[in-house]
Amino acid sequence: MSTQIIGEKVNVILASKTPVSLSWRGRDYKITKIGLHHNLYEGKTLIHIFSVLSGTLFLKLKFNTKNLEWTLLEIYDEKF
Amino acid sequence: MMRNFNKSKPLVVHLDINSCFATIEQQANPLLRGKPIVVAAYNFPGGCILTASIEAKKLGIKTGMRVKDGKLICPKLIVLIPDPNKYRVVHKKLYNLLSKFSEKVIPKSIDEFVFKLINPNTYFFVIKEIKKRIKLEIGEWITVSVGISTNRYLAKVAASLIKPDGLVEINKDNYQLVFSKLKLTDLTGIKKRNEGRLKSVGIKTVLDFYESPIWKLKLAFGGITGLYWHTRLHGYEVDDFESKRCMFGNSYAPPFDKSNMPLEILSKLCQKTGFRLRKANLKANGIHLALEARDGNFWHMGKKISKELFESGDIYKEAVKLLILSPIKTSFKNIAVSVFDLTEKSILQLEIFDDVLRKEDLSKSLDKINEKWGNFYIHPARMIKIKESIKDRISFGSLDQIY
Repeated sequence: MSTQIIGEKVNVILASKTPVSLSWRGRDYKITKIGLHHNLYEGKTLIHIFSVLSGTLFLKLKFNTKNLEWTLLEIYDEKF
Repeated sequence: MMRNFNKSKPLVVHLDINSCFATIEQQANPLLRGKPIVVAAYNFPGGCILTASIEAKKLGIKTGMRVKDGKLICPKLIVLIPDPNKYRVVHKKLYNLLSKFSEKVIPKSIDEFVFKLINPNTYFFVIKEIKKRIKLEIGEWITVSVGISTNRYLAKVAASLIKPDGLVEINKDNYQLVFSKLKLTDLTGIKKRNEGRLKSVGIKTVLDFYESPIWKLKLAFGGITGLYWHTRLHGYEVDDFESKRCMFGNSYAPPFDKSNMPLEILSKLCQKTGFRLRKANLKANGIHLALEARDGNFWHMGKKISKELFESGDIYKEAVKLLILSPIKTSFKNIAVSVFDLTEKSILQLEIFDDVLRKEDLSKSLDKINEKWGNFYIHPARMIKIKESIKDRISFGSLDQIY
């Protein structure tokens, strides 16, 4: 049971400015809960971080407002 | 002189987030809720626990313990490292929320706020509303303990009485009951030494402390401090002042593989210190270096200098001069640099051999580049090996990186 650092680009579908599902490694994950949304600056670039749940999988997503890219930063699964 | 408890309505509120860092981590990751978790400086056996979750605290795990000691108590303890940005955002959200209820909200630390309510008749409902809105607007897992009284000190004491999710009032009608249930060391600011001072003059309980005349407290604490304690315990304000920043500094506890790189570490610490100093538009005329070796030896030295320090390179040069004088040369456990004797940077003293204005322009330009492209985008070559090592931290009581 530990956090795995991923750092891979993913596709995310938004509704009302919040992520509702994402595609990662050819699989779709429905977001069931948003734990926390916070933001930070990398230099002058605004970054949004979404800490979300997809069933029993925790995912940390990063959205770069400059290049509009989504990155899956880390995952955490109770089963492993 | 004996006086009675302050008869005015209790309107001073102290609010603190329960198990702040751990609770925020549990808010972010719902899978961690209800489990014993800690946020530690490092996820090593020797890492210091900064915050334990409410579940971990129930098992006896406390702030300040080592990770290995926490794991001895609970082998399944989940250890996380701090994510300061997350905590700053929650702090700001809470500040904004509280500002809707009070004209002046004073953040005391990353997880503590003091504010004054206006209407004496609705304050209990207002606090309940604040608690409800924290759950709705910030996070449903985040709980706060709230203390209400006639001064800041007693409000803080009240906030510490019921955790988590407490709401306690100390007023003219219940102060005796509250004080009778407390030990001296339950009071903020009274630990073993002060308890010893009080016992030396025959004060054994909080009620004794409250009822003691000023002369006795002056005898116990020596001077005006006794009067301050008397005033605080009687519900009158003595802590309502803006503290002035008198130093800026950074410290780093290097892991084993970096414990013999004092110059590299100093370089990065001085860069951070210089950047924060310039951001506050200050200059310094004093520098202090503290070194702790792995064998337990400790050495520190501070000196005042005629040169005005604001540029990171100058701070580094002065720190190295102190380092040369140190008897500790290898195996560093902790290195701390700070600058003191601060004044406004608006007027700089020109020097004969050094172009101060040019140096200031260069610092401003470098700061702008680093602000735009990220911290340490341009940095001295000496700190390359250590660039990623000294992590962003929230120091206790410091809020200069938030406001």
